[in-house]
Amino acid sequence: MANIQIIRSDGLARIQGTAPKQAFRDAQRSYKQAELKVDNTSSFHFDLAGFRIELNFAGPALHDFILPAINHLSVEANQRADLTIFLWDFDSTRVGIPNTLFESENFDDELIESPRILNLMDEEPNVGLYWSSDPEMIPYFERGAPLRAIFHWWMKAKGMQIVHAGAVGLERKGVLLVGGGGSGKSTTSLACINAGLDYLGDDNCLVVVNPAPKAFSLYSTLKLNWDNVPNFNNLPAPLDNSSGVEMEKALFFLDEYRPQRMARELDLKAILIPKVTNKTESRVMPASLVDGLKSLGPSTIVQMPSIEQNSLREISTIVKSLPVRYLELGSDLAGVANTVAEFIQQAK
Amino acid sequence: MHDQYTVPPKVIYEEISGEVVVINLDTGSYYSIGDSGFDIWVKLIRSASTSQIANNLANNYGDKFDKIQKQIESFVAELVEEGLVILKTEIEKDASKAYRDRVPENGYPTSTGKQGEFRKPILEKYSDMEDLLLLDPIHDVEEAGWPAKLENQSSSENS
Repeated sequence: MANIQIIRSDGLARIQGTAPKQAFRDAQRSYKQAELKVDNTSSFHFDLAGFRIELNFAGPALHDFILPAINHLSVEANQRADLTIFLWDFDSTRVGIPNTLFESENFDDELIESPRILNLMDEEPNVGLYWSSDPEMIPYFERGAPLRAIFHWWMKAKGMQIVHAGAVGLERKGVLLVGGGGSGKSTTSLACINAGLDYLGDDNCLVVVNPAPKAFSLYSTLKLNWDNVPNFNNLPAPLDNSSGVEMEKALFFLDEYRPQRMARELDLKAILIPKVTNKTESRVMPASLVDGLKSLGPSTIVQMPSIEQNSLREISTIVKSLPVRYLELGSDLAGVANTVAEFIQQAK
Repeated sequence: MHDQYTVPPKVIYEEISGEVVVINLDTGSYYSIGDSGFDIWVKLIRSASTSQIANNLANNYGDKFDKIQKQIESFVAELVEEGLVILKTEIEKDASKAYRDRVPENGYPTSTGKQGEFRKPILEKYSDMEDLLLLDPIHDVEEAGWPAKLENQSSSENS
């Protein structure tokens, strides 16, 4: 069976589960048809946590919607891929999703008429498929985290977990920054980058626990509240929103901002939970494991394409592998970065 | 008093360091339960009735049975209202082992294990993820494969 996720036409509801192998093979044939129709294919290679990922596009229509968030991981196409993903869209190729994916009396008629995005992955041949009805309608949050469903499924099989966290570091040592909206996570990330710390992600990164906790860069995306944007100079232009779904935050690709500060991996030394205070100075304070799980778990869970009863356990394993601390944020952003830098430098 | 409860499919939880974090995927709210609430939770989801739990905790805490039972019932009512536990059906009760048979070999996980006065159990609720989850409702499918939907999924969920 293959993993499958379909995002509905309004860009909101997701249907996910498994598809028979035959349906997957039919979808692969659809991609081939798309290739023949456009007669213009392109291939890109990326290094994701040491694995070689190959993206093959039927036509260029999806490039601007998929590539920017992972551009910082691009490498020469000089070795065989561990995972190959084929991407096409209906708008430019006029090739849709095969009907075998819809053959069920329980099927939602509304979805038949209006699927927007399809993610499919079959682990056995290490192949993923991505289809969009119209790239212009891909929601902004999908553009900030493209192919997340496929990466989640494939990386999970490799013992890695995509988490909703940022990571900053110095000299290969780093910390996870965790917390939901309004926690100050993204502001902390930016303050650290501006102060010269390395950075491998803000919204999502890959974490592995064995043999030692490590984080790997996944997306260069950073999301910032609109009213916070003026506090930072020289940010690149935020993403244009053409999907129609309200952009609650400004979205940036930080490899356009400080490419020299982007790291591929960091040895993790702690989980820091940013906490806004009304003080000037910042400081690191003790936190409990349950504080760590509350800060990392729910926001990571909601982004998973498939949620199982043990999904929280996998995140709990990450939390238990690292010291958990509160990062009390003072109003002085340079002080925030210094506090983080000192903490990392002192970590063993 | 003798009712048994179970965790519904759309609720996931994880016990960590004497507390439990619970997420209701239907509402987007998440919760943490510690101290006496944790002691109640771990027994409740392992098929103990509220009277059995009250008996056990009255012994552990050395406190009055009636007082503890009232607080347990109030706490369980709160868990039910938040959708975190539901009553077991008669079929589920028959299928599950008796309370005493389900006591784990090493005993139940405990909170701090403090003796003394039983403190009122507290359910801490967080709603900051609701917008994210309600914006992006997740529809599960049968294990048999997509595109079959769960039999009890109503068409209104897709609107």
